[in-house]
Amino acid sequence: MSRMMGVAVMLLGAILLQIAMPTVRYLASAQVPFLFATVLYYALTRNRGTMMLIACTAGLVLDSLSTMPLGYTSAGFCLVAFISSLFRSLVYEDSLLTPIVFGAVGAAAVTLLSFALISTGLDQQGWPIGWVALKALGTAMMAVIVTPIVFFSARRLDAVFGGRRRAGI
Amino acid sequence: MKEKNVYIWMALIGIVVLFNFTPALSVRVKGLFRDIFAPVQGVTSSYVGRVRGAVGQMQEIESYRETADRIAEELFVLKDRVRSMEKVVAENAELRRTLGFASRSTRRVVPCEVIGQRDLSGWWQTIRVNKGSTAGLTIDLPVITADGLVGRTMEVSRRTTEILLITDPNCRISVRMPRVGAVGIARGSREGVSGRSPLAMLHGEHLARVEYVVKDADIRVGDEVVTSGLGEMYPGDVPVGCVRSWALDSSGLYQAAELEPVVDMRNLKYVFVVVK
Repeated sequence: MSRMMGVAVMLLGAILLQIAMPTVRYLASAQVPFLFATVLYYALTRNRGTMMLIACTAGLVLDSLSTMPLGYTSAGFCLVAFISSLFRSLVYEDSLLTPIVFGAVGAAAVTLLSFALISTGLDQQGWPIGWVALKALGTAMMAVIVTPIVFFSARRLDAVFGGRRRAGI
Repeated sequence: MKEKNVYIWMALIGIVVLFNFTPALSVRVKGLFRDIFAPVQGVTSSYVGRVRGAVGQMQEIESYRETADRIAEELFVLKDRVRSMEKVVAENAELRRTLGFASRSTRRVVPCEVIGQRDLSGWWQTIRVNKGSTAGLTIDLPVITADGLVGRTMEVSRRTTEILLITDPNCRISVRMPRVGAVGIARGSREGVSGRSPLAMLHGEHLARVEYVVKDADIRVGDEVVTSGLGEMYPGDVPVGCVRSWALDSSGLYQAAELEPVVDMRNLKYVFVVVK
């Protein structure tokens, strides 16, 4: 129970940060991926049930607070979190390199997946490919900075609220 | 293993269900979250605004003298313009009385505070304000400031409203250029029309473009663009922007002009929703 409390506190903190610092205008409105980094942390440290629940919730909140249609970000978060979880037995989640690499690649993948989904909207105007590429790159760059900080904070929270379980257990 | 698969299937079903929400249900779900986080967003927006303002002021200190000179010059020009406009206003009021036109002040506007300066996803150009359906707002209402047109209401919850800015490509407005008398369709743009500012949005610029302007219209840099009043959504003669550049469009049949909005979309604090 207290472990879920820690997850809730972490998610709430990520949502508040996401609201305060949503995007970087000079990088084609690239998102500062606080919520994605949180999802990624739990994808690498929790079982798949918890991971999916967190990914769906985070995506739902992000879609609700933005103009994105409901479910698009949840789909991206769930897919990337699931793929990341397949590699978790191969990486050290305590290493600095793990959040940097997974964060950058995952954040860019979520951006491109969101683009693919919103492009299917019939009445939506197209986004220039250069703009989308810069947005994905910008989000990856932001993830390189943000993800290690989020991982560090989440680890501290786990220490406070009680035991982090090794993934898959 | 079975348990894991159950969770994955549950997540997949959940996403499929979310994808298939009706627009009304989708807006209600979104509204629930937006209403919950609106107070937090208001507070964070105000603090972020203060920090930005402080940084901006520090940057501007060096150019204060230059700004003061420019303002003095502008003041002189504006005073002169006001003097000439007073005559026009008096003449206009007389004409309105004579012809029985309704005064423009009959529009009912709802003042709103901007609590979200940017779309959280970064894909659309939107802002969020602190009034919603409880204040009488509905979708597709024009949003203005004292300077000109801002956009239209897009998604309305009980206490917040999402506004689509005129700089978003999905926002289309019927406009006219009073000097040349040409009409066109304005919409947001991520690219310049003349190749001088490709992907202008990368530099944080908020631009729009006017399309389908007749080929022989004598467009000039600085031409004013206002709403045409055609259609039911936007009132007429609301300033939209000024022409920055123009070129023939790809078909060669029409002209397209790059538009610099009169409203600075980056620093919106208060806007007015035109309810009636």
